[in-house]
Amino acid sequence: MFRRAVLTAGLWGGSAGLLLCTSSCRTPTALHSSTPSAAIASQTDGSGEQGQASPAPVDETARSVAAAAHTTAAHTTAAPSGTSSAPTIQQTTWVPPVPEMPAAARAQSPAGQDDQQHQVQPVQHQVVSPPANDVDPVRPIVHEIVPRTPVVAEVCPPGYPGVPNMCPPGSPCPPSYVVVPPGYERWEFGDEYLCDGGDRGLPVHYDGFGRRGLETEDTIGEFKDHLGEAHVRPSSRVCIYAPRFAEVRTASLPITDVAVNKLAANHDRIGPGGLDTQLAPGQQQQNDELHGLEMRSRASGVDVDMSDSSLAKVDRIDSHVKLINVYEDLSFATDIQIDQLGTAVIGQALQNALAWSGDTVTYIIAHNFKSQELTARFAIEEYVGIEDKRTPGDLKIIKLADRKTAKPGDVVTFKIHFENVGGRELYEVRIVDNLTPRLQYIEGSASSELDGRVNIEDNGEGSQILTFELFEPLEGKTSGTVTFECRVR
Amino acid sequence: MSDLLARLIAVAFVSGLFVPGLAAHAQESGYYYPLNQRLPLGEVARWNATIHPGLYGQTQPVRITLPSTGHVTYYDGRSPQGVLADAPSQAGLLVGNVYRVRISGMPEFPGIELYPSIELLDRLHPPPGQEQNFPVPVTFTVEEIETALQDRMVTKVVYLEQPQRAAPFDQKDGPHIEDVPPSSNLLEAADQRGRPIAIVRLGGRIPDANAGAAFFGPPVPVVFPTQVPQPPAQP
Repeated sequence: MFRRAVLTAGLWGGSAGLLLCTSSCRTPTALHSSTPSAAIASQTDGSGEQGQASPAPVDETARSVAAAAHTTAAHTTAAPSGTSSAPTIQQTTWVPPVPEMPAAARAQSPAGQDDQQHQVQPVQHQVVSPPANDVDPVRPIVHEIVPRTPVVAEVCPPGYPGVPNMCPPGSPCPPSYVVVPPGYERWEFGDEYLCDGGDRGLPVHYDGFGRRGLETEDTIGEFKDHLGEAHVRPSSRVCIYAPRFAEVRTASLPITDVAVNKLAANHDRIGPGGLDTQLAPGQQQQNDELHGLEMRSRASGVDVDMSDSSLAKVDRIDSHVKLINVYEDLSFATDIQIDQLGTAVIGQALQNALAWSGDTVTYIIAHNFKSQELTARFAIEEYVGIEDKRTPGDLKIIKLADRKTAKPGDVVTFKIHFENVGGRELYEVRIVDNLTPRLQYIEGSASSELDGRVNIEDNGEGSQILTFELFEPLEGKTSGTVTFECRVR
Repeated sequence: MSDLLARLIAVAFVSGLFVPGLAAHAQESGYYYPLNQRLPLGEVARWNATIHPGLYGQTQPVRITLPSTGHVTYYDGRSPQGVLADAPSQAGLLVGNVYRVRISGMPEFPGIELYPSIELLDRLHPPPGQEQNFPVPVTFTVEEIETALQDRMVTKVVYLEQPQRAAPFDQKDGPHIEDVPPSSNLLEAADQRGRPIAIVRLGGRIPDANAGAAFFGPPVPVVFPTQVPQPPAQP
């Protein structure tokens, strides 16, 4: 929240953007005045307030459409129906252009009507009355145009008792209650939900050291297909509305001015830099020298002298014999010996190569005999027997919860339904659920429809990892369900 | 005034030591947090309402809990006496505003009245019909009241825990409370752990007889639930 405020760093720039949106909030219909469909839609509402309070662009567009309707209605005054068209068209629902009438129907229509009048005719059928003649013209498909409403969020706050609404009718909203501009939608609502399932973060995968990427909330299914290859499939994600609060607290003196004055005090600044302070540590160093005198008196000086005399530096020089050893332990000589051994091996290899280079080898590999033995008939017969038209097995996992909301202390029952959607068997099927830290597994609550076992281990983050292992391979087109309960922390 | 002293004052001005509550505290997380709990009442809420358009004025149920029993008085400007309610009390407060309530009638502290303030920063988004079942908890413990009676001010930031980083233990007696040093930025600490929802300040200040209604600030409506909250409905 606040980090976002820092990143934007343009609070007042954002306010400018809000002002732009405020203008759109005040005249929402103006956004649609440029499109004829929106203008027609506003007319379709039929409410009188639109004609009174709508802005000028809307009236202009509506007036143009109405004028077109008037044009057609002027011709319809000569129609047999004899209805007064002008007020009727203004109240009709707009319909799309109508295809031409059949020739038979056109022949029975009164003379003096052109093709354009035929196109207007369905409007009268639609609104005013059924056709007076016996000919049933092609009835147009009435499209009810729903006026487009701007997608707004929280334009005005809800009212509270005593005050019906913050925004009086007809007046614009206060600047603070603006429409949420694009890009400013709240995205951090996920922290109010307790989710489990799926594969968030790093996808679960295998490397040379084992399984990786199994974070909390992850629920996956592991299996091996008929080829022995391991696969991982995530489950669906289930979320429960269960917000939990905590507090950070501190206690301090409420008077902050005193603390500020102390920081700005001159004495506090000058004190550490004073000359007196620098002299004080020098006197303490002299005290250390006094301690050194005590050490000298405590230990016998004779022993010290003896130790000094025993410091025969000649012995230390003897230790330089190691330098000679170093020269003697030269690894060059060893390496040379190893190289010689290696050379001998290479020599043997060369001899072997000479032995293999003989023509005898070529004669021994009688390809003709092998090709005659490997007849294709046997292979074809074997292929027919091995062929399996069943589809490879695959696992589909669905995780469900028995409630939508929960408070700390409530018990939630999770149900994991897995199904082999393929035709072949799945081997070593395991359902792994790494619980989120706010879920506490209830001991002994796990159950399964199929034979298997459940292993519970700590995930290192305060919750557990539940692993359901099936004893038998999962046949194709079969399913199973495991159920367990957790307590919401 | 010596030249050294003049230089020290200049350095203090540049480093922001004379701006209370803004730059005098080190940032613990590496991010720059311009807001903290020491700003004037309502400043943080106004910032948040400006950052998130459409948030200001939304009603968020808040549940005030005392150590055992007592009374909670809300001041919404309708009457100078306020609206008295039994604790624990739940009412709807408008986001982006500051409320000052009175807690009294506590058997642990006979005759004691305190006037904490609640600055509502954000709100929840529960499923429709479940708004009253998930209020923001504002609790006052015995030690907090004792601290306030010692002329110290207790400041708390109630935040919504991030589920992936939530503390893995049960909440038995109300929300988990973590004490931080007074020099810390509570909003920064709360933002590192979740989403700050409210700032609660509890001190020993009482209304001044000469100040009148100014002590309670501008009147802000309080929405009282029409019915007792029901437990969460089972699906």
